[in-house]
Amino acid sequence: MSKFTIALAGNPNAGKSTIFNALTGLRQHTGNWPGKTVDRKVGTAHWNGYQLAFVDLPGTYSLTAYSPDEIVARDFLVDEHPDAVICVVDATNLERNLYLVIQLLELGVPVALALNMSDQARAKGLTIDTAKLSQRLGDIPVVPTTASRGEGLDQLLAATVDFIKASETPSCECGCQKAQPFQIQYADEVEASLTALSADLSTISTTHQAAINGYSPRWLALKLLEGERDIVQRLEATPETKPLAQAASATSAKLANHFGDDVDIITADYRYSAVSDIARQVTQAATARQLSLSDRLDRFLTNRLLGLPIFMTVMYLIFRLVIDVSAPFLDWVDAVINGPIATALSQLLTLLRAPAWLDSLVIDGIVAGVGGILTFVPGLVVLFFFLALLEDSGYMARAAFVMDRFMQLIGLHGKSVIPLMLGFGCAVPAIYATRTISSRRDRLLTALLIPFMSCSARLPVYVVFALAFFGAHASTVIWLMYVAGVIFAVLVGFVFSRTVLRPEEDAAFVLELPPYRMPTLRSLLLHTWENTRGFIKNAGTVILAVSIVLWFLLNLPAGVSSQQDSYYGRLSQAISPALAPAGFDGWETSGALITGFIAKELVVSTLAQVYTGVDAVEATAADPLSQQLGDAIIGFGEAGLDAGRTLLSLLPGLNLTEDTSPEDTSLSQALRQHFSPLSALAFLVFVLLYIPCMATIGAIKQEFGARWATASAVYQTAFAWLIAVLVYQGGLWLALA
Amino acid sequence: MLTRLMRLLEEEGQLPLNELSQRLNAQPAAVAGMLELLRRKGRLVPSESACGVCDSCPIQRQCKLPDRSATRYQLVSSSR
Repeated sequence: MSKFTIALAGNPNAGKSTIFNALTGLRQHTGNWPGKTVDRKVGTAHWNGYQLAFVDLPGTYSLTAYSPDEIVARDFLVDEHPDAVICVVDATNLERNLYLVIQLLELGVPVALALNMSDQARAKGLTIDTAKLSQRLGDIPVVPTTASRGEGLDQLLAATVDFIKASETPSCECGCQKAQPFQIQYADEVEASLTALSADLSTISTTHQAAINGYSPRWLALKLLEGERDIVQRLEATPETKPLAQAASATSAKLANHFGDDVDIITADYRYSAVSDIARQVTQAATARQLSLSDRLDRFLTNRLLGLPIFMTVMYLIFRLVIDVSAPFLDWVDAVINGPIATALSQLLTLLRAPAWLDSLVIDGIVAGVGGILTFVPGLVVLFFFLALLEDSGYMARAAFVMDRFMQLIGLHGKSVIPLMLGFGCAVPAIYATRTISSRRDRLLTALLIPFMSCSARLPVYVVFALAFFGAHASTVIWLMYVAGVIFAVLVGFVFSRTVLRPEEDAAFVLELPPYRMPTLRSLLLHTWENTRGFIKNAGTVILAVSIVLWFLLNLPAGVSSQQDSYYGRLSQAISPALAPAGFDGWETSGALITGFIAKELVVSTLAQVYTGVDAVEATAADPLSQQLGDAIIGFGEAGLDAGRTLLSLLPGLNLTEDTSPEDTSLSQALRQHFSPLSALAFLVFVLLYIPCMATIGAIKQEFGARWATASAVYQTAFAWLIAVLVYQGGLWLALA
Repeated sequence: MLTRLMRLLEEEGQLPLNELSQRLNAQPAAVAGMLELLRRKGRLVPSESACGVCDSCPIQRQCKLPDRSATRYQLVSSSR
């Protein structure tokens, strides 16, 4: 019985192991390649009177010696001299897989091709001319297979065994010529060097054959010119072959100078060109160019002209949804916190005979402060849900790419986009994400601009002011705040990159965009919950603590009759004159901006505490608790119906919403007594731009030092003041004009 | 193909893989193979490995950066 050893080679995921398992069944065992931690799988099969031993080589894309897998595969093919190599090729990715095939052919081993996943190729409308492919590769067997269904494997074995027998026969009985083995014709200069070096290598005496290990002289010459370390070291190891290695190295250097690039890049270039030619000649697509849905979407969504407007429109729609869908729930949460919750706590404290100051601390301090910020949880839930949708669907990567081009226009590094996009969530991780940028100058500039991106903590400030002052245009105002942040970042980046932080040499990029995916509801809800939980946790820790401290500051020194005379009032009044030109010089506002340095959400909770704390207590006494609970349940149902109607109204031709503004929260009413629409707008701009929160300053200090952290705090506050004054004074001037 | 790919990157500054494959008239998977070869040669640096300081990053455990971004390669100019 004839025995043949057949190696199975191929790219990862081409179906090599499926073919190996189908051919060998249970007759296989796994070990390690000598001296390597790479699996060695060997199996046997009996076929038509032949005993076949199969060796499953590690999946590789090439045969260069960059990884242990590639060295193992290459050394096995040369050292063990298998009778044939079946190269398993993914027919749907022929062009990529052919690179390994032609490297195997260059190595001089007998190769048979299994054109695997042929069913999928047909389903994609691809037709591969196997006869032509065989002819282009030097008349090697090419057999279409679908290993997952066992199709074509018998034909593959028959063709491989025939091929082995034919290669053992010195000449064909019919007198025809044997096919010329496949060979790439490199550039003339490379070919001349290969010829000379091959001739020298052929003269190596048999005593030193171990150095060249059975490799063909042309292949060895090629690898020496490419400077492949493993091969060079083999030849440098013996005195007889060392001069050859040195001569090859000198020739390689000359060729590299001539071509202006390393020889291995030049030879790989020729291989890729050959592969591309062959793939084009043997493949026919059902249509001239098969574009996937992902490609078609990308043509539109990452278009140079349309990409940015599309991204801005998507963000606008999201803010519309955040406001329109969450507004009924914002009102409901506000009513529940200031209604049944405040009433229940007040009644409990009365029952426990708690002193009046404790009642005030709980209701005016904690409920007003923490409750004031929790009101905005529905809006954040909607925002986090849609951001997760953009992220999971793969659009966020496109948005980053679209912005990437835009950023480079202003001297920002392309890699700055991702940290800047993260800044829309929270500036702290975004600052750390600048670590992906290798240049310190680019990192620093990006970190200085990140605070201009409106983080999720600023959203409650935007929402409460926009709903209080801009009614039906609230979502547009909020969207404009986000856009304004980006525009200010662009302006500041433009100035910095031409003054204190001049750009270094630009680097080119290629981006491998992930395919679009249909997000799962579970994943979206999980992302939404993770982000919302973080926000609620912050409200239960930092904001709770600050609310308590703030209450004490508002009520000390003991016996203070007016909040304005409290420690908090006095500190705030010291600052307020500086803010007068921006139109918001109330001491309450100045104080809210101070606490906003601790966390931006605190701007809203401080205003709620200062403006509405007393009102809340009064409101709790109005109705019995049972009635308030009943109202809350009914209110939730109504809020759900309103949000549902708003969602359905987004469908073309369907309008189920009544043209009414959302109900006022107690904070909205209070704000309108202290701000005009113009001063509210100036205040929003100030909040967008002024000193980043404490945690962000800490992150900048950790990454870039105290000097830059201080600079960030100072320049941003000065810039915020300047722009807020311009907005307010400009608005007044326009009104007068 | 490789030299055309590098020339395109130098000229355009930045390109998504799909556009690059269309410009080279090659399958995206084949272009990905070329990018991998250039990465091994040190001509392209993936942005994740350019970071290289994840171990000391305070937000390492929460970081979703690799999930969020596209695979991004930076072209390193030839030493020649």
